[in-house]
Amino acid sequence: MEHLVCDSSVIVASLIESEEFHQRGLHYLIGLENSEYAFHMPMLVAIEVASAIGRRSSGNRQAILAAWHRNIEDWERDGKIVLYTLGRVRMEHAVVIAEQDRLRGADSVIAALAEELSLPLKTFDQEMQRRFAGASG
Amino acid sequence: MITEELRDHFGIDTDLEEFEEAFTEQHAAILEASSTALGGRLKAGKANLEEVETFLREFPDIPSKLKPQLLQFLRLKKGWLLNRIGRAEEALHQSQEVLKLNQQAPTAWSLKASALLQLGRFDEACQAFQQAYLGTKQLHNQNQTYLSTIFKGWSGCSLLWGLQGILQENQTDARAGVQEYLGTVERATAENLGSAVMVPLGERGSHSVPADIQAGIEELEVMVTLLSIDDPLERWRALGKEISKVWPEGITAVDAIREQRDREWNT
Repeated sequence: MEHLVCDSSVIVASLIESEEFHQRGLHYLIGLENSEYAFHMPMLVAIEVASAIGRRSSGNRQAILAAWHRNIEDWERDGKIVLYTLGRVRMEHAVVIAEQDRLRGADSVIAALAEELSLPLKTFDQEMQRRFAGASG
Repeated sequence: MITEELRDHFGIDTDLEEFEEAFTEQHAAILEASSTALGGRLKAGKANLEEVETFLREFPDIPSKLKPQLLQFLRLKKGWLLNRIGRAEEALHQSQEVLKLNQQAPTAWSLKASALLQLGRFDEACQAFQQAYLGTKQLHNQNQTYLSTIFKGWSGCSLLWGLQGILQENQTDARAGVQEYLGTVERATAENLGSAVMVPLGERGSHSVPADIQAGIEELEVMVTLLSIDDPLERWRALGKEISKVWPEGITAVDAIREQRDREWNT
């Protein structure tokens, strides 16, 4: 099993069929379910995904958010994803990453977790890939 | 707020009347033994609230061993009649009075559930339906017709709870109502009473409803479908199909996330 830090863009891409990175995103999600991958994510990612799909969906918002919520619960219960809080130590580490790699606030929180756990960061955001050495798509 | 009109649209009030009939049938023996004129009218479904109230006030001379049962039955009957004319708070009071004397009485829990349903207190109503179900299960000669009526009311109530959550954009209530519905379906199926469980509301409507409520009903059906999928990956694929239907053209996943992180992001 490969352990990864997963960015919100990977999760959202796996849901949108018309998206350029849909198949690649789905590959990670299928791998998650088949225990080929385990995702490590700041809790911020769960919030960002809920907000993105809730804001951008033009209908059935409550139904969509309920299903997202249920999947997060199931995957966390089954140990397929691990969610991390942002405490003082992580905050200080993220500040260092933000200064060092010139990342935006939320980007640096995700990148700092990858560095802390010594795990690859998966993201489809090219700016993150350019600025943070451990990131790839 | 779920209105009386909406309950009528989905036939919930008809279900409640069936409840009342099933309740009266269950107590047929008490009515026969009481040998009163009111007993005959109650059995025929013709007694009105005033008659029951007069009977309770004057309480004629009947065999003493029958008194507690008959009194309990008449209080509940009064509650059903009050519920029927929209005086749900008073009906709720009647159910609570009987529950003080007999905490297990499934028929008192059924009345309580129906009164709470009328009042739009769906979460409490579902708890009361559960108590009615558990109480009925404990009876040795459990009545399948009565159980079936409980499942019908319980499932309808849980769907209305979910619908109210959707209409009020209250995610907690919407999810809780749908989860309650799915739990009811599971229980009813285990009792071989799956056919008693209400189908999703859209298939029930006989009259037109306002567009926002119709949209809520359709969304409720989508939520029931998604949350009824046990396998997380299968649910994820189904979720992807639903999101793809309502996702704006030209917006990428990175755009949708980037706008969370960057106020200036222009999509």
